[in-house]
Amino acid sequence: MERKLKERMLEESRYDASIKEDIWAKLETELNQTPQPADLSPRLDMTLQKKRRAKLMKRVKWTTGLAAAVIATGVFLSLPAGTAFMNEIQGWFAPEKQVEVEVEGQKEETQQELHQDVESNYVLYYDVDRYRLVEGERADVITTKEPLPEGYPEVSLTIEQALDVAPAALAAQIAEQLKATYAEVSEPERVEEPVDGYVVHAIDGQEWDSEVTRVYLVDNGKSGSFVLQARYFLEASEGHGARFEQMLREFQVLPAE
Amino acid sequence: MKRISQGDRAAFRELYDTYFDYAMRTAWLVVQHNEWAKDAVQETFLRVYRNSGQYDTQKPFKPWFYCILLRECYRVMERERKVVPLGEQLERIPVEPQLPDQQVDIYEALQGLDDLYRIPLILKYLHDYSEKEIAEAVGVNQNTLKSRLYKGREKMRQRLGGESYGTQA
Repeated sequence: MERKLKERMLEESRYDASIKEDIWAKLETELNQTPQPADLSPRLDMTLQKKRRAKLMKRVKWTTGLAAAVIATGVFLSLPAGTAFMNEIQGWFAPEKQVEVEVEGQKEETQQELHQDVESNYVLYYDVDRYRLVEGERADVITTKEPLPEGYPEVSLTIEQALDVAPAALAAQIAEQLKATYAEVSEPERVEEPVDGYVVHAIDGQEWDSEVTRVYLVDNGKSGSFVLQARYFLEASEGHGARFEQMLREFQVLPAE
Repeated sequence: MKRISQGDRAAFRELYDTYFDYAMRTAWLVVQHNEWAKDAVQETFLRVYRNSGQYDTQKPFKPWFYCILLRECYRVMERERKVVPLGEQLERIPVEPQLPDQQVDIYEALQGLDDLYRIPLILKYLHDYSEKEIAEAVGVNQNTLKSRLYKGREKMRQRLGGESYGTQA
């Protein structure tokens, strides 16, 4: 269907080939009147550039805010009362799909199943051949389908929410907490992959079974955070660690109703 | 961009050749009017040329370019809507139907959405852009963008009678 939509868009947006040269001719006419681009960078020192950028950003933010308010008001007024946020979360996502995962340098196909938590407003796909998902009252936990032999550290991916703390603040708190149990804890870092948020990484030694955790904090869209904590051990970094990272790429916060 | 900022017209032509097709198609799909689309595209390239010295080469070009293009599309639509009689404007306002309609095709379902959802979907499916690139072009964070894509697809699905699509990304 994605291909069909793309084909329809390409079909509908077909244009006369002469348009390209017509526009170029008009551009050349304009350019001949102002032959040199406004190359500001060599003439401005960095401070001045920053000031200009800050001033511009202030104006852009103000204008964007105003535009958003106007649009929001327009949308609100144009809708019948109560319809704007009434779309329920329905089974739009495919119930399962094949995903290619790179594990220890090898690419492999995995069968992923949808987990859609309407109450907590998130969805993700997890690898049903290797993991099971246990839904809890406070948290959902993805763990190995077959329990690991005795002596292996925990392997899991936990999804829970902190309702009143924003991701940046929570990342700092979690980093402090982890210092009590892990030998090395990184400073919170802003990331865009596998999720858009913050990450804190911690490791407890350099042995094969040293415990590792990566905690991702994602904005829940309601002034709180999703806490996505992967736990595994050093030897499993490129196995379970990589698989959890891939699953987190599929994590999506659903729009609030 | 460095060459363009120094006035290299040949470099500007190369950039024009590279980006014209998708710029024209995007503009057409966004404004849905041939002349308006041409205006938006022309103004976009003019702005790219004139502001090439301000472009931060550390950042990816595409989001910067599409940010300018979308701004020009909005500007043209805004300008033209001011001179279109109110009755005609009302006819053009897309209505988002709540009931599935077997007669509606996927393209009509897309164009029936509010701009908030329609434009990110155009960028995603026409260009195969990543969510990060689209988020930068439309100036929202990635989570907001994901929500808009989701909601837009959900509205299309409802309009198309529950047909599920777009989940294999």
